Amino acid sequence: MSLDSPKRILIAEDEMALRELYVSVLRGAGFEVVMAADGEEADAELKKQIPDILLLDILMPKLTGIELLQRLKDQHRLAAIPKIVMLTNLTDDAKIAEAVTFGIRGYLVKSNFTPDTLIIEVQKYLEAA
Amino acid sequence: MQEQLTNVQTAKILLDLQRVFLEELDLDQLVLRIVKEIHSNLVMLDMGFNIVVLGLIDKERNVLSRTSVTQTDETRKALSVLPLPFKQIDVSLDESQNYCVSSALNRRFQLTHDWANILTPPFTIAESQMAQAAAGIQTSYIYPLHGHEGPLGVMIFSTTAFKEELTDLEHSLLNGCSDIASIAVQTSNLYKKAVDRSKDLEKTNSELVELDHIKDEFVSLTSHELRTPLTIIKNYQWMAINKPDVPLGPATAKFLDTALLSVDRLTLLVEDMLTVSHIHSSKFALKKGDVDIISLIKAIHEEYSVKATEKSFHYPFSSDTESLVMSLDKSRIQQVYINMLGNALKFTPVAGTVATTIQKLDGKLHISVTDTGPGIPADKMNQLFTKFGKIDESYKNMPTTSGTGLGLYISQEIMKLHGGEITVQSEYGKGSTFTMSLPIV
Repeated sequence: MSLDSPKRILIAEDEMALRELYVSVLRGAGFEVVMAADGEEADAELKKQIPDILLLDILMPKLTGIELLQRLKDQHRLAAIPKIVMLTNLTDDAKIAEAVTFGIRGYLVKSNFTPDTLIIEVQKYLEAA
Repeated sequence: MQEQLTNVQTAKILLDLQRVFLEELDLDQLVLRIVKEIHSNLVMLDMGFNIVVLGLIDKERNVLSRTSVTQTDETRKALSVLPLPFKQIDVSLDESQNYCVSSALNRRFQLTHDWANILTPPFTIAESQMAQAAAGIQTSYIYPLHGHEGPLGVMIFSTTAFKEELTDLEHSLLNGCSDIASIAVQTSNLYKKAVDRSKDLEKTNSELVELDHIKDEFVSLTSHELRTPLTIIKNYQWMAINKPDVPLGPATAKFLDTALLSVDRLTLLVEDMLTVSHIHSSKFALKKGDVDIISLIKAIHEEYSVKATEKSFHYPFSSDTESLVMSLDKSRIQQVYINMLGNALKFTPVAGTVATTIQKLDGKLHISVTDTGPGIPADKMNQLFTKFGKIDESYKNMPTTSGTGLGLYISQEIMKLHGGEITVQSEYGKGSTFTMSLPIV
């Protein structure tokens, strides 16, 4: 664990307004943030560099969060990503349960947090073993 | 042979006919049975009737329609010279000079020696008389059929004998046959109506089920779609309040705070609507785990003590059990208790009492919240657990209360899924006690 280099976050979120907000808030908190607007973009970013944490929306165009997880698993790239946390608007337990089978660390219900709590949650996940 | 006819015979024949007719509910079968059975009884009595006809009124078409006839030689002979098949011999109810029409409408017995009186229209006088001659009929008796809703039709008894008057007994036999036919036709009509009605109801019912399903889908989709823009509004409002690039004046800060509160309310409403639509589409499942229910309730009770203090409530907690581990959906059970407690805190006026009591009784755990709020009128109790079941007066008494009216409905569904229930006792003007009961397995 190096304290000097900032933690790297990849945010995959299709809703532009939310994506930009999350990016600006997390950058403001000192993180290095990369963003993707759909599953395909996230996949491309993951090929370039592995983040410390991937915040992954479930419902996205082109490739959904679940489909991306499946692809990463099929291509044996899933284990290389240290932490994955799902972003969701759903109380759709079925989707979350499906994501859990890929070994995700947890999920954040978007309507339940505000920018300050997002920072706290992300820090919590990053600090966890 | 007619002197053989006795009162006893007449009564027996009529009773037999009644039994045979009422066994048949299908109208098409019944009309055939009526002419056949009546005719064969008359033949047995040697009363010399050769053709028995049943004609029924068709209200929609405003006609009296020949419906069934005995299959005798005389019938065949008559029909062979008529230009229309039997079933198409209709006469308009406006043709009041036609004996069939006048007998039916005026509920009157009539006799004729001339078939022009019963077959014109639709046939000409010549056609009618030719048919009569072909069958060799001399005399026809026309009896009305009548039911609760008015005229039903006629029965026509025709004989090759030339007769004027019937004996009293003959008349009462034919009259009785017609009356029993009336009852049977009417019963069959009512039966048909009932069958049609229940088919209609079945159809309506399945349409309603379908409509309800569409409504649930709509609510579910709409709620989903509402959540993203709500999340965006909430987050940007939060930014405007907490990270403004120019200092906010006190008024602007208050405007934004108020707007944020409303967004939170709207978010809760959307979540409740989504939960309800999940309940309806059976997507609502519990995630059970072992939970110490006593410490769970106690912790929530403590969490809400701040609100209780704000309104200077007496806010006691008591439990006859130290701890009890049960298999529950923790967050759902939490939701039910918070709903009960939240309602009590909301509706009880300042300095009142909101007490939580936990009791083991009869194999169940009862968690009660008792308040000194406005209480619930007896006639409104059954509305409480229905969807959108807010009591009107709660708006009047507490203009500041907000809520979706879905809370208790959802809570009751959660309790049912746990094999339990919520019950309420209340005295209007004094207060209420809501109790959530869970079976101890």
